[in-house]
Amino acid sequence: MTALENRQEAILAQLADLKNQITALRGQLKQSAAPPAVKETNISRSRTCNILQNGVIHDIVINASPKYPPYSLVALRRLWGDSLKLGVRCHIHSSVLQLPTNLENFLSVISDDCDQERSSLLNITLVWKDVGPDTELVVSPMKHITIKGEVNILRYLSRLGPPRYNYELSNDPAVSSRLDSLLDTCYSLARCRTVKERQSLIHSLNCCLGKSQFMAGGDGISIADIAVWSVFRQIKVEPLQDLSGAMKNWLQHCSQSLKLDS
Amino acid sequence: MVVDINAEDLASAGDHAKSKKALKKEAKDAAKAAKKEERKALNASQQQDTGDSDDYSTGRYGQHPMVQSADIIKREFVHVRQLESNLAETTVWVRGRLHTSRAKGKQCFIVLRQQQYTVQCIIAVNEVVSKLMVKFASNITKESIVDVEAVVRVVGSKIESCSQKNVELHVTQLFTVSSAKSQLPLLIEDAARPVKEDEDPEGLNIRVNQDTRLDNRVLDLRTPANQAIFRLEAGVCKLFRDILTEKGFLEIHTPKIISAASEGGANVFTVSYFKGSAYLAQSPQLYKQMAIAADFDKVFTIGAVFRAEDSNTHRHLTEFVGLDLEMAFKYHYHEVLDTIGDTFTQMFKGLRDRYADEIAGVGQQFAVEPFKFLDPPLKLEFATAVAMLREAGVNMGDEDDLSTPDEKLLGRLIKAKYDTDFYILDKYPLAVRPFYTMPDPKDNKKSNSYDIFMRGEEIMSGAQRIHDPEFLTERAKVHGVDLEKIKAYIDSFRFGCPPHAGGGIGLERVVMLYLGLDNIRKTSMFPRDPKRITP
Repeated sequence: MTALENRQEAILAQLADLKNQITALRGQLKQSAAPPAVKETNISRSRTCNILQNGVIHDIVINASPKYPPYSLVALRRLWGDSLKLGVRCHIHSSVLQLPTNLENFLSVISDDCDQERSSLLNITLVWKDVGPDTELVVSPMKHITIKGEVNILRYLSRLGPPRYNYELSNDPAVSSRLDSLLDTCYSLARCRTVKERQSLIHSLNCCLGKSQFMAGGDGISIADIAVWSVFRQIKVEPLQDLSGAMKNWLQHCSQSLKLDS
Repeated sequence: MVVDINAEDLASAGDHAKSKKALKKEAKDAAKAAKKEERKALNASQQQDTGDSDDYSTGRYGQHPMVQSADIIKREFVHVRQLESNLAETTVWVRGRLHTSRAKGKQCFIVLRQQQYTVQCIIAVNEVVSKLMVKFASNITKESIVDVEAVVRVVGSKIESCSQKNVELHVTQLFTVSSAKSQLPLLIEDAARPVKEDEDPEGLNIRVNQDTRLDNRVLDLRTPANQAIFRLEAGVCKLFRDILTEKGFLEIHTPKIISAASEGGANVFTVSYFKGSAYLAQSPQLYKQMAIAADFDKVFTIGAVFRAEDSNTHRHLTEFVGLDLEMAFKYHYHEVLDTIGDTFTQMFKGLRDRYADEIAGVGQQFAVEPFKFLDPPLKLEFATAVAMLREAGVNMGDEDDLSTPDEKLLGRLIKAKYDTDFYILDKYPLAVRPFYTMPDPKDNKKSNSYDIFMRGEEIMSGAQRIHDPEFLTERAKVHGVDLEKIKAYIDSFRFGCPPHAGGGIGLERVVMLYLGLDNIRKTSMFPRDPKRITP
């Protein structure tokens, strides 16, 4: 009887020991997994410090071809709203003789009022240049090489922008990789040559959308929606012919949320 | 050879050697002279010989008597640039220069040049052309002006060495209107040869040095590249005038003989003026402003500018053509800056679209990188430029002026980032600008002034001018300027003057930088610098 009791005591002691260990570990884990809200504000503060260097705002330059206007900039500006003001100034490079007339609409939406002082936090100089579908981003030729591709520019800008829209900060790797594959599909769509390729890519976007309201599957607009919206306008997608019912609804919903024509 | 020879021995040996050399030279000269005599005699005899045989081409060639306007000869001349296959089998008259000639027995090939255009001509013995005529053709000196009557014929294979590649002229009549000396100080072919980096060391490497070119400017200017450069320069002037006139500007002419140095005392030329002395104008600044005070609202002037700077650099001349403009504005000097920027952009577009041939012509001799610019022009603040330079490792204060190497580095940085050769820097620090520059009301360290750059070199320095006489007097005192000397300048603002701003550029410098040439003397027809006042 005593032997059994002793054994019971020993096992109970071991259990208590294990429980202490687990509590200690849990305590440690709880400390490292800080609440997301605090993390975000830290990041946003350091983010704004990076843009303002020496109290002077540096420009970033985007070189775009008049045949592939960066519609995503317009959308991004609407999306970010007041949390990070985006100022855009347009210039035509000497290698482009004349801008096509169909760009006038885009230009009127994107340009700043010239007399306004550049009080926005992030200034973009948009240069119309013959670079083909590879829209370029130049930040500082001394430190970085040029970034090519509108989706990559979106990725860079989302890192600079309000953390709420930065998909890379989300803790769920599934969401980030889904967004990445959507962005990559858009990249290919802008460059596809055959009708067959185009249709298959649009079809894959459709599958990705599935039953959700937004491309990323979440409940708000993300940069994936912006990228798809922009590339659809660049390759002149006809909503009635090329898109499924779900995509048509999505397109309308997007345009409404961003307050832009589809 | 003996190595240890002492100095005297060497000297005496040298003397012997010299006299040996002198003897050799004399012998050579004598031999040359003898050969010349022989040749002359042979020529004369040959001419006499063949002179005896029938010359069925008399009257179709020869030295034209000096053109003294004796008779009115109505003859339609065709320019070499119009000689194309559409004129095939027609007979034309052409007046041009003999560029090169090559004789081969019964044939003589001549390249005829008219400005930048060249065409090949053949004088071959046939029913109308005699052997004597071919001989006469081969003896015409280079650069002589000749009148040619010929039949235009289409060629089978393209003539690559001429500008008119599809046709050649079969000459029927040939006259020299004005002969050139036989020994030319420089050959146009050599002067027009492009300078290549990877030269074949065995190949012909003759280059004409700049001083030789400038001493014989009349010959040097005949090269196709120079013809193109000065036509482009005329284009710049014409575009400047036309664009500003369309914007409502008025052209004025300001005096060049002035009583007091306007910018700074040291760099003026003095001329004796009757019983006293006067100065040659350094810039039309004062008079442009007076024209604005006289209600002309927007003015520009094109005229000579004299700077007595002892700078022997690739971009300074003592006399150059200044294109200056001044404009009254309503509330902000950016109204003027935007006008200036737009004038330049339109000028560059005009050059790109209408003078492409001239730019290509220059490109055949000098490596020309096309000029890039943005529309509307890139405008950066001075503070941003300083930040860019600091990022690149340059140590400079906030109120320091940009040195020439800084400007060049900045040009390269901006080219790498924005891909433009043309940009404007706005809001320079007040400390580095002249006393008549208006300070920035919101930041007393800055001024309402701007500099414009092309390919990393400054072409214009401009600003909003102080139009209030009291404020101007104050600023002059701060800068330590003698008020007596500028009394006339300050007085011109006492009768009400609108706020105004402007700037001026040098024509030669703009053309030099637009084409990417390395020396300003290439773009000035007869350049003036501290060491050269002729031709």
